[in-house]
Amino acid sequence: MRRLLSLAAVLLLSPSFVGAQEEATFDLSEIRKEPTTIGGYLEVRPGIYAPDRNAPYYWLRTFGHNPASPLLQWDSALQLDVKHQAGGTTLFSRTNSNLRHEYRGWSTDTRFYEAYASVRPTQKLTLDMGKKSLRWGKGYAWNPAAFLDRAKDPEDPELALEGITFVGAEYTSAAGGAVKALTVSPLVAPVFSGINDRLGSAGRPLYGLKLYSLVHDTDLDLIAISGGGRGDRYGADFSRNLTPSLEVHGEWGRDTRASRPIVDAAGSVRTAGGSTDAYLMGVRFITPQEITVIAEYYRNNAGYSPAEMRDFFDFTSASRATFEATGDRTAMDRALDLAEGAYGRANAGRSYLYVRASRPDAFGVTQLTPAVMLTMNLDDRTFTLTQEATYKPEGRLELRGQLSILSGARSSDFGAKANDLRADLRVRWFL
Amino acid sequence: MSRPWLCVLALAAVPLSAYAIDGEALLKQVDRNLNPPTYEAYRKIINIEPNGKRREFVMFTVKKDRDKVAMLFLSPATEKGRTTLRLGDNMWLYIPNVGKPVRITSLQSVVGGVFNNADILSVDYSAEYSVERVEDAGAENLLHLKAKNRTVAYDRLRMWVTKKSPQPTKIECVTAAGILVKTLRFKDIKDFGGITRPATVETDSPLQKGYRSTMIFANVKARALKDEVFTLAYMPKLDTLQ
Repeated sequence: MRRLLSLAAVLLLSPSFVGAQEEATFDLSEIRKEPTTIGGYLEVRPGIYAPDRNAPYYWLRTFGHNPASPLLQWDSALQLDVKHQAGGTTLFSRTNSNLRHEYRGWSTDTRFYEAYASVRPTQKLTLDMGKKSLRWGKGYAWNPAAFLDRAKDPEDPELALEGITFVGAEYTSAAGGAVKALTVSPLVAPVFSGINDRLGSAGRPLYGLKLYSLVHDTDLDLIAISGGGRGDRYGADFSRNLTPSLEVHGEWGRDTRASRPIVDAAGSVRTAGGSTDAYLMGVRFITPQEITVIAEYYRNNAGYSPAEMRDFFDFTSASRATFEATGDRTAMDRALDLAEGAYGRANAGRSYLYVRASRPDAFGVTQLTPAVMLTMNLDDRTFTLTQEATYKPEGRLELRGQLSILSGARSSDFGAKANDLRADLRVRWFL
Repeated sequence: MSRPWLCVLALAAVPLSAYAIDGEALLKQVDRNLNPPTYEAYRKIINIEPNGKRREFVMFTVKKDRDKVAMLFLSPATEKGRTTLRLGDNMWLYIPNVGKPVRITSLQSVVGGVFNNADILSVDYSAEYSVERVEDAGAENLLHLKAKNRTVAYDRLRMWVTKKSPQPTKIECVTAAGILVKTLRFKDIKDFGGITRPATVETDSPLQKGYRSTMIFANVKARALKDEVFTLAYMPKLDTLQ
């Protein structure tokens, strides 16, 4: 009898039995809407880096310091979203505050990523004023048509980005027939010191227009940008499902007056200019094993060839040698300036391949998503390979671990980067 | 022909003639009994794992016509603010941090568990399936449904429908090879104020042994909605409809 009672107790208290008996309920207080909502997250991200002390970018980034090896870095961030809705008006702000500790010591930065007012006189029309992130383009890792957006980090393309300040409108018509939807989005962006100054010349506003349509089950965008004292820019993109498990997308952008500095090994800088194109083709598909694969080819004709990048790295090494031998900073300062500009972009080359494969609920663990990403410069065959695992153990917590390995000769795109290996753990608590 | 044989034939003809049910009309009636043509609803999805662990998702849903569905995640915090949109065979997911919609497929699941996107963003059955035949299953009719095209999530459905005020009680989802992939059970008939329908849908799958998912409906009510609500441009603003 005692054995039977013990067995009954074990069965009754076992998680599967308790779960099976727990009633499914829906408390309507869960769906009460408040006029003001607060969201966002608190994040800590410790990281460790194995630096390549002879890599050009290591020297450029750490000039004047002598950090230990390996490098330890501690990042923490608070992204705070505040939204207030009253009738047809929405006020929204997103602030991003960072606190970092690294070999340079402590540093902090807080800025408004977004702060805007949105008015909806009708469900077809929305008027926006303020700072807002546009996120134009269909590409996942790159967006050649996103002329006004800040550059994404291809190794973390889903991060929020700081927006631009503008006045704009969005008019949508959902007519029937072949064109299921049409959205017209014009905008005007002022350019002054401290406001959109990375986009153009002070006092010369930018004018932008995006047309979106859903035609024969295909998303299509046409983009045009003018003003700002820069050349006109045009872009287009599309996205479509070819089969239920296969999506194809493409994006193209043309800058009619692009310019970039090109330095030779001796340090002479010339400017190459003119109309240049960048484009991207990609697919997203799901295998029968539920692995999601994103693959994209990106071509930027305004990027640097392997020979041009080698010249920059050779000049950097020579300027360092000159400084260390004579104390003359002239060449070194020029190298630092170039590294802050076009040469310092995350993907400064011409042809890239990006592949990401991920599988949700892997290994029978719900909310565990391992992934692997490859970003390769197809011209010099150098690459970064990242392994990642994301886990959401409960409703407010997300954990993500990443390990990246970079491969390439020292005067190559990825070989010249400051670190050969990076590992970090990101812990996010959602508000 | 002799009279006894005529009687036998006449008797045999009676149930056949009485059972000449218009399957397509019956399926449309099922759709209308489940949902008004245009409505809003709150739903909770509960995913239960073999170890008893529960994960809950609360969503606000709007639907119009046969094949327009939009949904907003209200909880948990990791998913809050995400929206999904379905227009016919097209589906998109919008994540606030990413800032733009991306295409997703019907066989994926934005919430995990046994329900996939086709189940969560379900459209009228008559929009995706045609009726092959109707069987008399005693107190219920059994509808045999075939997908109208290859983009539909399940190749065939076997749908048990009550004879009085037709509503589904059980649906078996079957692949083209005849493999049962999922069973949906409709329970807890509730009057939502003008709409009387099952408030609970439970599902399990022989392909995911030990996993169960439950969908609970609340506050289902008819609502006039403009077509512009079901566009990519409206996905970031879906919370304004609450």
